[in-house]
Amino acid sequence: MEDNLLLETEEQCIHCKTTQAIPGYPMNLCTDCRNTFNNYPIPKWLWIFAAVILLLMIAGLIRMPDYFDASVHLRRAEKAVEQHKYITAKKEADKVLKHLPGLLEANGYKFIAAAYTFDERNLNISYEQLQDKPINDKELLAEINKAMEYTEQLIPTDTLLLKSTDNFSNYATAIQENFLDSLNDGVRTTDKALFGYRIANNLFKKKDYKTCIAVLKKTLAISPDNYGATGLLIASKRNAGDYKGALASCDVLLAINREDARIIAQQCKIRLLQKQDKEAAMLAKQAITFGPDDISALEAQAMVYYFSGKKPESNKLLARIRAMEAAFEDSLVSERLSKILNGTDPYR
Amino acid sequence: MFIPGIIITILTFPGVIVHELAHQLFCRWFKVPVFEVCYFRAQNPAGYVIHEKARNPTQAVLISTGPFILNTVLGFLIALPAALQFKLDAANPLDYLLLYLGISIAMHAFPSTGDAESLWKSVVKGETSSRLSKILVTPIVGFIYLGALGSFFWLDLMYGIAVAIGLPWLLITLWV
Repeated sequence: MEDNLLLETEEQCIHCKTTQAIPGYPMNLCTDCRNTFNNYPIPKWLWIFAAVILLLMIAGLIRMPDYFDASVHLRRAEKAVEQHKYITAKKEADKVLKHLPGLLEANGYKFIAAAYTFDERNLNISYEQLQDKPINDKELLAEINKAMEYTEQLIPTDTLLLKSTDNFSNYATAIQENFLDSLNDGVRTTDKALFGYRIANNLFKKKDYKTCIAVLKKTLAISPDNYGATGLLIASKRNAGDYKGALASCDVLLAINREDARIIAQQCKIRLLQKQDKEAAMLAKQAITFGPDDISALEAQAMVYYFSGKKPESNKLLARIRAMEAAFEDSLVSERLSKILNGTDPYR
Repeated sequence: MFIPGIIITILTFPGVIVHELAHQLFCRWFKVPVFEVCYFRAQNPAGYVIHEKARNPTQAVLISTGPFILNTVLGFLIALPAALQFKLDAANPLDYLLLYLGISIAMHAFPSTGDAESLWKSVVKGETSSRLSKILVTPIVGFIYLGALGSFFWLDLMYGIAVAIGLPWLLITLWV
């Protein structure tokens, strides 16, 4: 593969040898010969070769917009997972899976996102797609395994022992506080954390925040990433007036999932207690963006409306929360919120 | 594993054809007469273009490095849709063909030692070339020789894969 040079100095055209060469060029060629060589022909077979390549290229490019789109969404899902933005990751993975339902990588990202958002339905869907299929990307596989471990905190193995914690609320505070210490090493860490959470929840309901926080601290010493325990710690610290500590615990969970609507809603409620209404409004908006149907986000937004004097809007959201809770035969949030909105609970 | 260069050249012949065509097209663009073109043959060199000496260093550089530009751009464009399909596990036989063409074409982007030699003769050793053009062209010639040396270690193939597979994915990353 070379380009070679020819050098000549004769004054007559070196090609036709009949006409005088044009001066000023490295080689002596007449106008006609120079024009001919300037346009050295490209052979027909090469035109055909180029046309075949062009056709193949067009065939490839015709399908490209869809695949380009899918590739962009796949990369966005990957990036969102890297940044712990799991709501975005799930949305982006879904956009890819709309075109390519079996794509392992997208199902992997969806699984990770579903795990960190505790989205059981999508977790099962993506798990079925991943089951028994080889994942060659070691980093992705490690992330999937890590996410799977994270979800295990929700699944109790010792259900009998777990059931026994239901009666704990009648026991003396000291027994409740020290229960975790009494468990032997044979009890699985995730089970221990679950017991701790349940005991703390009973204490929270009794408004014994001091003991509740003590139990939660023991629980988090066993299972530092425990979502339920950290979430309850935020509420306990907030109700105990430790706003700084509550916000710090929010940051712990937001480091795991930066788009956690429930935790952002918690931040909003703390800011409302601190009378930082502007920040609270921004956080409520953010929580609604990430969880448009999340009850905690709706509650936070209703409270922001209420404290900014928009009572009809807050009542509208209360009605919506009531309707949503009715579907699960629950009324915890709506009752709590209605007390604030009708002035029974001054909140701040 | 040692595979004779000529076998690689034969297997990736579309790249050789595009390489020589690039020299020819740059000559045509600069109105430099071309006297003979061999687009492909099963010997060393696998192709060549015999043309008049370029009238200035810029033309000489572009004629010599033309394949680097054309083969890279063409290799990337041909392989782009196929590389995305591979990333999405949705590749079909057409994509295999496009990827083969893309890699073949891109891996022949490197100017040959013959190209470097002609650039050296026409610019660095050229009597009419300015000192500045000699200074600027010397490292280009050096890089071409380095590239040729690198092909012993499959640098040309690595370059072809990077252009045909790596670049499309980099484009997506930058797009996001």
